Amino acid sequence: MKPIHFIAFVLFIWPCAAVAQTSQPAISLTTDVEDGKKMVHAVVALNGKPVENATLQYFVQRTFGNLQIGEDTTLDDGTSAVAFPSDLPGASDGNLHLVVRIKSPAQYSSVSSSSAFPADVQPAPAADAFPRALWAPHAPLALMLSIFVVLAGIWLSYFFVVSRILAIRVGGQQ
Amino acid sequence: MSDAKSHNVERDMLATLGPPGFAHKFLVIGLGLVVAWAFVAYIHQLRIGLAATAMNDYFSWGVYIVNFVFFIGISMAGSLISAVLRLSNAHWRHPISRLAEAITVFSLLIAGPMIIIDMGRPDRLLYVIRYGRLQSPILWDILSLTSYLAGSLLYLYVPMIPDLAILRDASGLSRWRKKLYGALAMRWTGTADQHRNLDRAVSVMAIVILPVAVSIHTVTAWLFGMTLRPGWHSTIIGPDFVIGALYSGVAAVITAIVLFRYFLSLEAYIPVDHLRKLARLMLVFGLVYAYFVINEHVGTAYTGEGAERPLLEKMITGHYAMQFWAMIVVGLALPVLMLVTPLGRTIAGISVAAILVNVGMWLKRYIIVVPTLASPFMPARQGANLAYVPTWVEWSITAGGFAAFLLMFILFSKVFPIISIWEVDQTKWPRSAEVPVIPNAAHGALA
Repeated sequence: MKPIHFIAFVLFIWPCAAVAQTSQPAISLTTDVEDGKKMVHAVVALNGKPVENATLQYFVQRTFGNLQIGEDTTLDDGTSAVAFPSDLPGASDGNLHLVVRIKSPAQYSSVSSSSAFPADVQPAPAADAFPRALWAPHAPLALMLSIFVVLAGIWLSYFFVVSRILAIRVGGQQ
Repeated sequence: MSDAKSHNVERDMLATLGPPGFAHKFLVIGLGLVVAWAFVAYIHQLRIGLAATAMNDYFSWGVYIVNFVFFIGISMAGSLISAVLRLSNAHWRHPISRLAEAITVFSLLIAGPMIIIDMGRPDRLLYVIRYGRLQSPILWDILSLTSYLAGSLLYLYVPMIPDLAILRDASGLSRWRKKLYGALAMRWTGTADQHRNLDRAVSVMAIVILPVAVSIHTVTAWLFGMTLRPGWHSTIIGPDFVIGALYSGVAAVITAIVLFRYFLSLEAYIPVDHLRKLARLMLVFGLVYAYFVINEHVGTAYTGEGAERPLLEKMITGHYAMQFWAMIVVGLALPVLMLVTPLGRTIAGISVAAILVNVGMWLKRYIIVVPTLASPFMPARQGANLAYVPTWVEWSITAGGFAAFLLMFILFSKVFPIISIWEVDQTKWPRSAEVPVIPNAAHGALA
């Protein structure tokens, strides 16, 4: 191979081949109903070919971390499935954010995928009659009114006193 | 009151405004040096940031906030002694009311900057206003502090107008003083109309300043109480702070009166009986405050609630036991015991008791601020330093704050009469008999 051919291979052909042949599998997530039971399906494929015998862990995102809902091994068509967590309430957007991660083989263990699906249980709106004011975007109206009324009372009294001081000055002119 | 005596009041007060003596100069220079050193320390803190202090991610507050709460506390005295005694027509307040009102103003002038000094980025002070959130106790504190300072300045100034006119008309004063007194005297000539306007202004201020004073102490308490921290989140922290402020405030007024009485030879105007009355007031507040302290700790000790118990242990037997018991002994037990014995009826006994209360109440504020911060809810990281020991910068600025407080007092007493001349000597600006006068306001006789 001439040097120019080697350079051309390194610069153009090798990267293109590398792009075409990805080293990490892709995971796609779907839901469907089988025998009256709602299921989550994950399909693992590497360069379009199914990955068999990969162990997948299924999670649902919660406020302080991921809650594991199941584990399954892929079949020869790259699919695995666990039951959809119909008893878990969704996030504030009404969805369950599912995460699937490859547990084994070890070389794919960093691969994960996530998708959002409508939850079967919708979160009830917070029925907090007295939400913490400090964290609210705006001060409660009652609080604002109280502060303004008190401050207005104080400063109007001060203005009255200043007006009396000015009256003393005017009285001295007469 | 005889003319001779009234003449003496004016003469004696004018004498206090005369050229400073050696002791006065020595005090002013000494205190000025302490303030200057504190300024150097603050510049150092500005240069390297709050790393110059012992504050860290656990101790977000330190002695600056202790000083803030302490000075806010003693500011209560002016409002109480002047306004309450004025509204209750207690004539014996006349010689001491201005001292009390001045304490309020000067202590607020020290308390406010302590907050700014505590800020790592003082250049962002205006952000509190620009981006202030009305639901934050920090903004409540800013609003109530500025309202209280403005009211206290008015309340100091308004009853002083007739005295400023006396000084304006007095002979032998320098030109700049004449100009100053003339400008501030508001052309006072003692007409019936001027008396009526003055009485109205003073009466309104005496009524308004009380709730404002209570509000600043309550809001300062809420800075702690609205935070979910052991030792702070308490339903009684508001009244606890108000009573503590009254207790330390009366002690501060007694201390100031004793000092000025001695250095300016005011014995003729402030007899021992005045100090005894104030001492009785201090005793009552001391007993009520002891009741609050017992309430604060007995419930915690009995229930042993998870977060509160370690804090209590730190104070009773642990790292902060010395400060806690010093506060109990120096700030409460000793002064109360002294005041119920015959010793508490002598000037020396009352003075020592008042000084002990001042020291004890500063320690109490330290006990409020620091041990709670040393008791975080979340586990401290490994190797974290949970012992707060103020640095030289913090001690220097603290000393500077106290020195500036005394310096303002001394300079004030050289420019303005420390005793209300026209209230002690009512013959100076006599009222016409037919003029209706609001009772209790700016009227009385030498006790």
